[in-house]
Amino acid sequence: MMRPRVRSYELIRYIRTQVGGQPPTPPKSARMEISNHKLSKLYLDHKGELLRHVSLKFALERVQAEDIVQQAFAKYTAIARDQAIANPRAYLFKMASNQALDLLRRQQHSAHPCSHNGTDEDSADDNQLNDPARIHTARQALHTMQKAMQAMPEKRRHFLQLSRFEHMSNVDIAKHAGISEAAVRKHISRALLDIKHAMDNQPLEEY
Amino acid sequence: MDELSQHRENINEQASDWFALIYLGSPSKAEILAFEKWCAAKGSHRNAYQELITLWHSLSEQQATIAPSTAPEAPNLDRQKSGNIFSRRRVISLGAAFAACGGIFAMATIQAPHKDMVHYQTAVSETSRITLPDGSHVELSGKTHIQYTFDGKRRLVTLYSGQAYFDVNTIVDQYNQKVPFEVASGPLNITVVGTAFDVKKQGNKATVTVAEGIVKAHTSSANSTRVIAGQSVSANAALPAKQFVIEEVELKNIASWRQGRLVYVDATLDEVMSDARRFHNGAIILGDSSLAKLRVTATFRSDQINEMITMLEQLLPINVYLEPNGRIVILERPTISS
Repeated sequence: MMRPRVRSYELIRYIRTQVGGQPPTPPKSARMEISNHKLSKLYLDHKGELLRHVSLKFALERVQAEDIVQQAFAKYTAIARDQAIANPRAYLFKMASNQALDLLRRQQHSAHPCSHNGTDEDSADDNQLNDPARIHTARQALHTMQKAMQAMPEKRRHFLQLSRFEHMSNVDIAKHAGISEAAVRKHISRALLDIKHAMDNQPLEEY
Repeated sequence: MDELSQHRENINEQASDWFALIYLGSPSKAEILAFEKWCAAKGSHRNAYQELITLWHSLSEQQATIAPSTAPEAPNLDRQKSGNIFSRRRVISLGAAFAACGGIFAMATIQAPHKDMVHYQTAVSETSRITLPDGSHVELSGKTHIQYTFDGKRRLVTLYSGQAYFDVNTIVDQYNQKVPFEVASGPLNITVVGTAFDVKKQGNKATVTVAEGIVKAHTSSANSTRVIAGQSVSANAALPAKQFVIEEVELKNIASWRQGRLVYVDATLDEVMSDARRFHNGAIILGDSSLAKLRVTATFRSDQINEMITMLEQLLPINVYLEPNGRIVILERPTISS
């Protein structure tokens, strides 16, 4: 028996109306149709854990977390229209995490008193890419972070590097270094704190 | 230190402890509850924690300025020995990386701000993860040189040599138009808006393999084609027609060099050696040009080129000589008559 097929944007609209959002405008051409069943199964299977994940890791309010999970699904649907995604769950997690991070950045950017442009326009970051003042500030921040990293004890810097740039988990670093996981956490926590200190105390420059 | 800043200090200390546990680790049920309680206790707690998250991620953006160098107009990578200060081998267990980092950081701060054009290059067997000024992420394989320019209308990356994996950030200009991202490598040009793909240049030949989304490929002779995820397109400047060759690629094998794996399905020995040269300190010489056409289907580790060569000796009718100076010579295996 043929399963009824529904265009993907209709499903987004369905999902959105369930949580009270605005229905999106249908895309100009839906190249590939995704079965209603498959998408809603994905949604039902992962919505809960995605919500828990972003609200815990990013310390988000419930509403914010729901928004982000919505956006992640909407984006996923748009992309899945054109191509097969090998690991939908991992993809959704990655997308939701990126969106949460963007949200935090936007929040902090607009809250910052020295913020160059206080308006809350969309993609303000992109528009200001070539703003010399912004570049200058970014360079200064870079310099401060670099100095803070250089000033760290060898081990602290090493663990920071493994965690941040080699994407090793605390457990893996602990195994690798032959120390307890709690000790690894302490090292990384201190490393980040060092950088935070340096950033908070960096001299303000006028331009 | 006054009381207020002492207080803020304490909050930051607690926040970074929580960060290491909650954000980076896998907390227990009880720890999660305790964290949520801590967050709810004061608005400043949550803010401090969230600020550490963005700070943590901005540490990667600082890598963007790690590699830029004021590279010459005509790149000559042979001059780039692995001992230069841009070299940062991704050897997990070596603290040596940090010594190198120090040098890199210093370099990044003294160079004049030159926002429109940036060069990034890696040495032999060094891979590097960078963030371009537009926020796109790029992973450079060994012995790779790219240049990024932004003229306000489009983003252009030129891949002079080697191999790179791009994860392109979608950005819009002031008119809310998406800013195209173009990659030029040898005979091949591609245009995307936001997607992920791998570009490799081997002599006259350039290959683009798409991991996500769609890219548009064109050559100077105005041919153009669309390539979707799971496909690769290549063009060879040495061939007169400059035709595209489109092939299907298994998604898991795309840019597998990022995990230190080199995967070949019916590739030529020439192609395999061209990759090996980017991970081996020392010349690799094919003794006879007929060897270049031998076919290889195998997987190797990019940090074990010697093992790879020895394995090839068993797969193919070749004899391999590993010389003490690191030079590798590959000769045809003589057929035993009698």
